[in-house]
Amino acid sequence: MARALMLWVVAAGSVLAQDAPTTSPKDFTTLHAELCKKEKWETVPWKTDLREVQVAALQEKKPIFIWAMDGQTLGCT
Amino acid sequence: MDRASTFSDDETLELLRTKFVSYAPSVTEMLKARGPAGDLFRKVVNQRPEPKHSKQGYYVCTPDGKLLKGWMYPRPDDGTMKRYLKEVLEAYQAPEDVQVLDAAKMDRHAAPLPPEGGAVVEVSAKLLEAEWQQTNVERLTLIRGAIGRDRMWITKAEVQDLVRGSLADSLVERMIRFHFIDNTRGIAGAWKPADLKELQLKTTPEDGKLKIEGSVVLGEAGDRHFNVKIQGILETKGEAISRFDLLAQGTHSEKTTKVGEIPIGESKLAIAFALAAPGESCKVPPLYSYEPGNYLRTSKLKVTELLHPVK
Repeated sequence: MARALMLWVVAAGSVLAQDAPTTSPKDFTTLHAELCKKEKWETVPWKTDLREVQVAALQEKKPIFIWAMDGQTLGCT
Repeated sequence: MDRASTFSDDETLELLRTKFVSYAPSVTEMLKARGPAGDLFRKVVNQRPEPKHSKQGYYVCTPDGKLLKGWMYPRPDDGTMKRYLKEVLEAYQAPEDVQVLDAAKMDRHAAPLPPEGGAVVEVSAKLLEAEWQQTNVERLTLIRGAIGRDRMWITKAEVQDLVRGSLADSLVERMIRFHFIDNTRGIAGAWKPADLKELQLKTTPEDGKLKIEGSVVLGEAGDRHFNVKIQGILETKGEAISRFDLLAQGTHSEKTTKVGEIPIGESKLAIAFALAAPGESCKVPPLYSYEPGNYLRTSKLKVTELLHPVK
């Protein structure tokens, strides 16, 4: 039998959370997949270590392309 | 910038995949990085004369740091990137006798690694519904539908808790404070401990999985609010996490922002979490990992007070 552990806390004077319906399993799966789906820019084999980049460029005789943004270019930017 | 529209051309993407070694660091961190890697990075970017106000953008260089092309505009890209890549390839001559960077002198602070024995989760955020002010700025309209990406670290101790069937308070707080944010149009601030107003969380073991349901109310005085519903399914295999599928969604509003534009009134924000595949994705640090004492700390947390009130 599955055991459920319920934790309920309401901080004094706080606003109650919205009692909106939970997303159905199908909607959960669909929305989750939609958000996690890789975009085209993520199909490039981006590297994050400059030494590894340099070694690869020398071995493969290729130029280096740098895409540099504030924050994390491949993450939160 | 909008990553999706900037890198949408298939020919450009194929060039980047096959004819270049493509590198995507944090310009902020690499400009500060100590050691030979930082020196090489600064050598490259300092050869680009414009714009003067930022080193963000694109560079093409040789392995010994000679700049071949450097640009930041136009935004969005109008074909400039493909043209520059092809021009470089036509004239490229690989240099000889290049001294490789000394691995022993790499500045780990500039590229922090995940905690040993832990796990990495990919985080993706999107505004599902939002109302916006009228604008003629194409860059702004493009970025409104963008997906914000980040990574979340899970420590070894938190993995071990999940293997035993429980969700550590420290992981709950990290997820909420640093990742229940709208980062779709730029870098958003983390929530402070005092912003956690209410937390309801139910974890249910079911067929070898851990099902998670709950809700969170977050509020910054006079600014952001986020009422969130949480659903998730976590699984472990042996001593490791094999699945971390979680969705947080709800109504979000804010009155001030340091970047971009703000939707009018309330929006519907959704954030998905999924285990990162082994490889380069795991090496991308979470935005707030540069504050390890804050991001990974495991004691005196606000969520502990909310989950286990002292009477």
